[in-house]
Amino acid sequence: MSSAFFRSAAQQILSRHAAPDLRGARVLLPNYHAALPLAQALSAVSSSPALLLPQMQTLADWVQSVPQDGPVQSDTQRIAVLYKMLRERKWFPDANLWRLSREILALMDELHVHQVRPADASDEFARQLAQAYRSPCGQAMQFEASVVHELWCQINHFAVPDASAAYQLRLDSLAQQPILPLYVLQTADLSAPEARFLDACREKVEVTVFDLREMAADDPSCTLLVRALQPGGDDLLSAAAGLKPCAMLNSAPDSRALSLFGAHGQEQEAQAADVQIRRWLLDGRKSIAVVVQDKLVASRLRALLERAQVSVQDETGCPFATLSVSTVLMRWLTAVQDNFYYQDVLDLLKSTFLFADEPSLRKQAAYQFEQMVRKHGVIAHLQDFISVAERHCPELLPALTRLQQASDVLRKPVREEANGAPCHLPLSAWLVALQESLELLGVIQGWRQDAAGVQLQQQLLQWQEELSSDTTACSFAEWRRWLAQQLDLSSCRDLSVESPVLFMHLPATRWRIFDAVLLLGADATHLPSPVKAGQWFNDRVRATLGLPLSTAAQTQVRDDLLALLAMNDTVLATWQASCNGEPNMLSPYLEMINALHLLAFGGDLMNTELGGMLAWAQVRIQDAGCRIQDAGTMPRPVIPADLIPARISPSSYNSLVACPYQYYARHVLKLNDLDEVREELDKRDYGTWVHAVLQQFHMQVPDVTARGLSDAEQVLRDISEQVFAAGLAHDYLAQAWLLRWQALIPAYLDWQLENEAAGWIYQAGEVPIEIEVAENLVLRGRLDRIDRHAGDAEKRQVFDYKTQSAAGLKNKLKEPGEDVQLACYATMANAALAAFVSLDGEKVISVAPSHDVPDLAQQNVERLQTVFALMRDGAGLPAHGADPVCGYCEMRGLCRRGAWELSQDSGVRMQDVENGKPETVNGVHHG
Amino acid sequence: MDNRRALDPAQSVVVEACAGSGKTWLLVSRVVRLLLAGVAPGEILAITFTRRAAQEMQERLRDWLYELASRDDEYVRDFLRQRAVDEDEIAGLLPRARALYQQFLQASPPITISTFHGWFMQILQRAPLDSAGAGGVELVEQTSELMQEAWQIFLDSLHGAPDGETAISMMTLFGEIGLSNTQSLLRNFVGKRSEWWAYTAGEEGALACALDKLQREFAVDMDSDPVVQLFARPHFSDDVRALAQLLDASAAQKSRAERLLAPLDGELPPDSRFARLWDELFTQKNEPRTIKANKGQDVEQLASAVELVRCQMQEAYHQLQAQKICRINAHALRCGVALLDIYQGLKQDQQALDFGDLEWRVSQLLGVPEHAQYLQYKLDSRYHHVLLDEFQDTNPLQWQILQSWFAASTAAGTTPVVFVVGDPKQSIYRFRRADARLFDVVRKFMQQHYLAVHLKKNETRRNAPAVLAAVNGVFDGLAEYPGFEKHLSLQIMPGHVEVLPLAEQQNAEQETVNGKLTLRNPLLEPCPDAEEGAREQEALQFAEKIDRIVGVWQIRDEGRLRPLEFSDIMVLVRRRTHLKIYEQALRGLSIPFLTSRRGGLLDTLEASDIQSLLTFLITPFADLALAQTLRSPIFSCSDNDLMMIQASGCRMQDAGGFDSSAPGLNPESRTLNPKSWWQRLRQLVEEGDASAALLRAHRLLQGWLLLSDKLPVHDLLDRIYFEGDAKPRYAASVSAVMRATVLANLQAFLEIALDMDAARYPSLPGFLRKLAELRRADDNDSPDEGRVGQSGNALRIYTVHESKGLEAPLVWLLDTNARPPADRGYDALVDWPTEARVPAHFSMYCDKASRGAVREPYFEQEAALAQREDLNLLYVAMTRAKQVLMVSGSGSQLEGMWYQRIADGTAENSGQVADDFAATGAALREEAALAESHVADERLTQMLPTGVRKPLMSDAQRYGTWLHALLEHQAIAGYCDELYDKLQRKLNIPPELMRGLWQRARDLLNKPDLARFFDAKYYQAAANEVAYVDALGQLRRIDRLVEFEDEVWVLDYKSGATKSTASFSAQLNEYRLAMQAVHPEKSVRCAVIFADGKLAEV
Ligand code: SF4
Repeated sequence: MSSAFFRSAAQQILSRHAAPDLRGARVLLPNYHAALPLAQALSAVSSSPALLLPQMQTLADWVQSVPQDGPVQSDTQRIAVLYKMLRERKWFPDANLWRLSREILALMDELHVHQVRPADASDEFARQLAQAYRSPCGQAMQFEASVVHELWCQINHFAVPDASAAYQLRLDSLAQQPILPLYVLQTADLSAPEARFLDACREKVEVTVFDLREMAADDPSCTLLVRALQPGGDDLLSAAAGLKPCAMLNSAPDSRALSLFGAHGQEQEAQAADVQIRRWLLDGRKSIAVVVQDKLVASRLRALLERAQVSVQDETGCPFATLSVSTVLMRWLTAVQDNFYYQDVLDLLKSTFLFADEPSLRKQAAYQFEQMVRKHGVIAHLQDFISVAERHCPELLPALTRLQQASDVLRKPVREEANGAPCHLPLSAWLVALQESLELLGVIQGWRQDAAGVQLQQQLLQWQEELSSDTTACSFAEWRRWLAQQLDLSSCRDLSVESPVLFMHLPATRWRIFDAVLLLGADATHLPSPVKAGQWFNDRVRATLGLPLSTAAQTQVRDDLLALLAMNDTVLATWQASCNGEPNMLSPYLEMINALHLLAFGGDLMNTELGGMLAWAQVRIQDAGCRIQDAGTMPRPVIPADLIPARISPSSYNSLVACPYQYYARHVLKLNDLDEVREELDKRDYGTWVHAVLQQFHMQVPDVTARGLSDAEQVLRDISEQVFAAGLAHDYLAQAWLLRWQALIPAYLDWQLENEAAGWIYQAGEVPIEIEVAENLVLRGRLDRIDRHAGDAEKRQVFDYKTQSAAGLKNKLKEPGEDVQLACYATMANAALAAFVSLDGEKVISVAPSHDVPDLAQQNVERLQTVFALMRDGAGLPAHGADPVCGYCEMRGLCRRGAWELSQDSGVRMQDVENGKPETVNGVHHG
Repeated sequence: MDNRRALDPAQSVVVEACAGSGKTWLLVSRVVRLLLAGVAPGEILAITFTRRAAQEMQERLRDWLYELASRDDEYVRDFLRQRAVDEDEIAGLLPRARALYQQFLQASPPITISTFHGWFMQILQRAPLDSAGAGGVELVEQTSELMQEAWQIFLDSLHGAPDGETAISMMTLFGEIGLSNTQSLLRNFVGKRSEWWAYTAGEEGALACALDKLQREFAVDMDSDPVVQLFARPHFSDDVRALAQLLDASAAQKSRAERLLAPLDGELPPDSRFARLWDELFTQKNEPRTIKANKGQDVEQLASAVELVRCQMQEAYHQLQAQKICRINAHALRCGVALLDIYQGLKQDQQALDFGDLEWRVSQLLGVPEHAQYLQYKLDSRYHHVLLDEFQDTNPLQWQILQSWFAASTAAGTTPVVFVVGDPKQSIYRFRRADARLFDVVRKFMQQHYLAVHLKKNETRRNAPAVLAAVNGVFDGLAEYPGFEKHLSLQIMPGHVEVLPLAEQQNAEQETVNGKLTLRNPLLEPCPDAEEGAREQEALQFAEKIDRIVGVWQIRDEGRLRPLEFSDIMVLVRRRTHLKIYEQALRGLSIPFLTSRRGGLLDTLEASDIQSLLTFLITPFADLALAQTLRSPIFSCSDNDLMMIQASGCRMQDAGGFDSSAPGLNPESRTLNPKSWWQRLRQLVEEGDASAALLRAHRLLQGWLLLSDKLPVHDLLDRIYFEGDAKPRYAASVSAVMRATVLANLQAFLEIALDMDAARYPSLPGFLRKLAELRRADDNDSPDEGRVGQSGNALRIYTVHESKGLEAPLVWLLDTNARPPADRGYDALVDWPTEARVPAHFSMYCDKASRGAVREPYFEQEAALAQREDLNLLYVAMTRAKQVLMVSGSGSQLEGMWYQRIADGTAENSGQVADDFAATGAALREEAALAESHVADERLTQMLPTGVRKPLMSDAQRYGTWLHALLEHQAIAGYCDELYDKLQRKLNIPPELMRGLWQRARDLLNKPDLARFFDAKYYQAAANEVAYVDALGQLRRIDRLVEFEDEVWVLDYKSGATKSTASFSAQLNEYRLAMQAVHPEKSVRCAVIFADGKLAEV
């Protein structure tokens, strides 16, 4: 049936032109894919062995044959002009003027194309508008009118024609030339200038239009489609009653079929499409169109197809902004604009396009830079990075220098501006500078090895050329916004793949025949997509002015859909019947078709077989050699002798007690969470500083009573300021922490005085100590502070400063033996007393264990010995941390608590068999 | 209730309808009635609270209209009868009813069923007047990142100008309230910006003006010193002395008397004198101390003396406090405004709006009557009928917008007919500024201006009588809940309400042997869960009960009984704060669940595995990430494998062996950076020591490392899932009940990646950052619209807010003995009377102690509203249950908490489970191993290589193509310079090649053997690219066809260098045959032209 449309077109052409040389006729095609079927139809109808074909072209290409005299103003240039005008007029101080310019440009083109001339005077135009709106002519309307009017006048001032005007001119001159009889293949309405052109042609030659809409209306097998898609008409039941079986859409599986698949969610839709496409391929179908209404599902579908090594020829393209080739570009500009914030730099360094001439330099730099940032906590400013690198990581310098040079190219013009105001350059000048800086970064080189990169580079050069005569001066930020918009709006196509599976947009299907069509994303929000009403005018005004209505685009979609369904025998439309648990409606067009079909023939168009196939019809790679872990059990690794640590610190002992597996991961496997880059000062820095302050203070003032309170306080305050100074230079928040500490100083001194009154004398701080607790096992650590007793030189007390609350510390000590820190310190310092000093809130409080410290110390040492002996004997280290420990444990991914805990629990749990419930099974039966 | 009036198209209506009473039915029925009455779809605006609700309405409307179009007349009549259409009109309406379906589908403009925000966006997009909206804006949902960025910029700016006014204010705030409180204070200020703008609207210096208002409200003179003034009062000292004298009479109070007198004459500064006096007469909490009269003292005399002094002191104290409040406000507002400016600026830069901005913008736009009216004309839809769903959750700003809209409609000549439906009892969105009081205000307004009728509906179709009895038991007659009317059930089905005993904290006993302390050996004994809190107990109780009843209890489903499934259960909590504990308990019993906690997904082991893998791919030295990846089911490496890797590092280190190919390891840094795990793994593989699992891991990771900077994130992940066989491996590694959930999580993760890839400037590091941010954003505990999808048979956990509009056979309320969240302080205090256009009061406050007497009424009002909303939440929560309501809590029972209220309200009917539920079916836990579904077509599980990547043109080919193109063009147009430039651009020929090519083409054309084919002097006709179709229907194209008098030449260009022509002869013979058919009278000759211009006849 599909070829019937071509056949009837061929018959008409041949009735007027004699075979075998049809070069005396001209056929205007919607696209070149329609050429072959038409040629075949001509050949078949004429039945001559060879047929010289008519001139077959799209109108756009035909117009190209008319030489363009004189330059044409490009859209990029016109937008720049509009932008400048809007900027000067300050009508919209907060708006995104680039976007606005583009919208206005579209409006201007529309006015132009439809030969609408606003009234000469602005007031007159406002009155015209008010009439159209049928509303009083208020201030708001006058504003709208004056904006449009003024811009219209301005922009039409230019002698150089714009693209659409030039097109118009060329159409006009084409119409002047001698032309051949014309045949036009059409599915939807022509644009106004093209319609005018055809009218002009009609005066000279015969013009025959093959309009698919009309042809379908005359075709009995299309009655249902036409009836369903046309507006109005009689009611559904009588329409259904009038349909003949030949209009049935899913009569037999391999003749003519339209079917619908409603998926639960995105993944199922993609899977259904994937399976169906592979079925078609296996059926031997040679051209499969995937009409992409929903881009997201299409990306998913493409990935699924590629799993089966089905590659896709994508005619849809995607905006540059969503490609990694532009990520590198925009990150670079962000880095330059935002002082080289480290994350932008890291992203840059991790992009393959950077330093493409020297890939090893980049990889090395990425590695070193990340380490440097984590270690030294510099988070912005290229200069800061360079100076840190000079001291700690000179290998990084070449890379940083390159960044510096490239940034200078963009920065130089900014700096040259003497008065500090941002520098303004024409867009093209910025683009030139950009090219230079990208050249220096090796990005251009990187792009050259990438298809999208090549296109982007060409695009940039083209804009640069188009704008070469433009003088609109922009700041760096304005230019960047312009560039962002350009990247959003221009798209990139991968033309390198040839495949029977084609992704395309609906308009690209005009007059095309495929072996099968998959309509992807056929829901109400995508087919048709919602009306994009602009900010200017409304439909009533548009109608009055003679502009097409905002719904014209939807009408076009409907016509294209009709044509697609009329031309093609096998169509599957998929949509997400529900997504995220919300219902999602089918396209109203398909809804109507389905309803009518259901009523007329008693069956709906829902595809029933696909859903059941999805579970098994997946491609899968299985490595036969590698077992799949089944629901596991709690790990209990046994440590070989040579990996058992010979040293342990109080904090790692703590970890051993809390969870042996955690200890194993940290101290046997020696794994550590990477230092996080800290962008703000936090309590950890505070703790470090407070420790340093107190250490220095007591070195200077071991005895506060002797020194006198106020004097000591002054010393402590001075030291505090010195210690915090480093932080203050870099970070504003250091001030807040300093204030917090300063507020605590009197309380600390009070505590110290009390301590001294009780006879304790400061002896030493920050003391590193190592003692051998067993053969091959050394306990080592650093003590915050040791005091000795005035009365008894042998009597000692160890203190550990904590910036935690006293209550939290008390809680730590509640279960003897669960926190080993104080006990270890006591052992190491041979002290009879040990306490945490809580430096938090408004008070300073010491918190000591409730148990006898020497006993506790002794017990802890013995336990340590026992545990290590067991370890050497081959005892495993179980992962049985308590919930609160696991909550903060970075090793959860290793012990996989959660994965086995469940299964173990449910496995061990005996089910009540009498109750008729089965045992819990996890692949393994538990007796 | 009177449906006739509620559905009358001409009548404005306000319906107050209880939960489950069929609000959606009513609203959609009204829409049908409107359409029947001839209202065009474009004239209808229906606004509801969530997108889901909007979608559901749309769906229901479509389904009904389809029925109307397709069912028999009797059905349609009945349908109309149910919707209160007059019997005598029905027959006449039938044809119209039948046509509605098509009319609805094809309507343009269509019916608008939307959320407030959706509709606001529509308005903004059509408003060229709104300068900031011009050119289009984007709605952002997540603002925490932007806020963080603004905060950073703000701090940087202060750092740069440490002596500026703002910096000094900031320092003061740090000093007075500390860093984190300052941060909350300022962020909360930004959160209340609409109120701030409204409060200061139209004022020049907003800040000064707000402070001025505050000082006037507090009646405070900032320059005075109340303490000095107090002591300067002539009588004050006398009053104190008099009091001291009275006290002195009692021996017990002599010392107090002395302490009172001391400050009067001392040398101390006034502040400390005041403080000392204060301490004598007031407690630490600043409440009056009780000073009792002792023997010998006159009770009344003493009391009045005390009162006299106290009053004067309190007056001074209040002055002081007021001064302090004003000072803090000055600093906080100054900093807040500065931060706000930055925050707004950031959004402005990105042309982004958040919900708050959107509302504010629209309210500003429509606030100007002329603009509002203009927009009436501007939109293509002219709304004559406005339907407002869930009206109790509307906020004053939204109501203002609606009012402006209505007024403008009226002014434009169409007074809208308004239908309002809602339930003040379900108003739970105070944090989004919804105001339950609004409902009444609006009702009165509608009655007055739109002659609306007011209807009430208290029958529900949702809840079983037993559940409803509990609801009535809790709320009926409750003094704090005025206006509640007893609900009636229209359902007859078994129900059950169970209030579990409160879980108590379990205290572990100290273990001592013979009184001697023995420490736990961690290798042998896990840490006893000593501190199993009460909440953990409750969680356990909850999980165990669920485990017991699923598959056992019988649920009524569409009239039939079936065993309870996990998916029948909806678990509700007030806040997400402790969700982790309950989730943990569910995991412990392998109970599948879905949670709307976004971080919930990212916290799962499987999601964390994938994040680790990706982290490793961009940071190959992230050893821990690699280790986790290896342990994940994708690779299933054992601990022994890990120790192998670690040990190989030790060996190398001992042997001094370092991998010099490692990036960046110069001799010095080598000692600092021992080999990374990845390097060690490589080494192991090279040395042949790796296990099978490690070998596989190495091979796959190696490949993914290469892909990681080439593929978009989603494509990379898909490769990982596919090549790593991730889903089946995960499925095999978890218990059957969890399987669906784990797989759904893996899928959800992939979908996040897909979404983000579609965003601008994607990159893998950017993706990981975004994930980290999503997790962080989870902390702020903001209730969101539920995002829980349907996935297998799993129980769902929601906050009560998210459960809005949902229902379930069994609802479990957790943690019901918890206090409602207390006011955290450090926020803005706003009093916005419901009917006022702007707030009456706006100030910042810190903690409870610094509220100030003047603001007390506002705080009380806030507290009352909060209390009311807490009860509303309970009402919503309870009414979600269709058949069974389970209630649990922990700790010792507190008065006035949900637990106590439900327990009291259900005292008589809780207890034993009714037979209907206890009945044991032979129900099964969905345990069965994933049924290996039958593979019907092997081929669909195999690779199907399809499509090819076209080889790029070689240089020589490209050169040839260019040359032929130039030949043709020159032949037509000659050699002008203009053509030169144009062709170069058009054909994209590199400038360095162009000159040579151009010259070459020119030379060739001058060659006699070629000239005759290109120079029109010599031939009759010539054409390029001549297309013909042969008898087989194949389309062919001849490069150049030149006709002479007696012969026709077919020329074919070949882009390569000169070769033998033999290989082309078949092709050219085909051309020859075809052209012979076309030109039977002439002889047809064929030739090939090579890139070097050589012509060879075939
Ligand atoms: S998560 Fe828990 S069990 Fe696993 S290692 Fe950490 S503490 Fe031990």
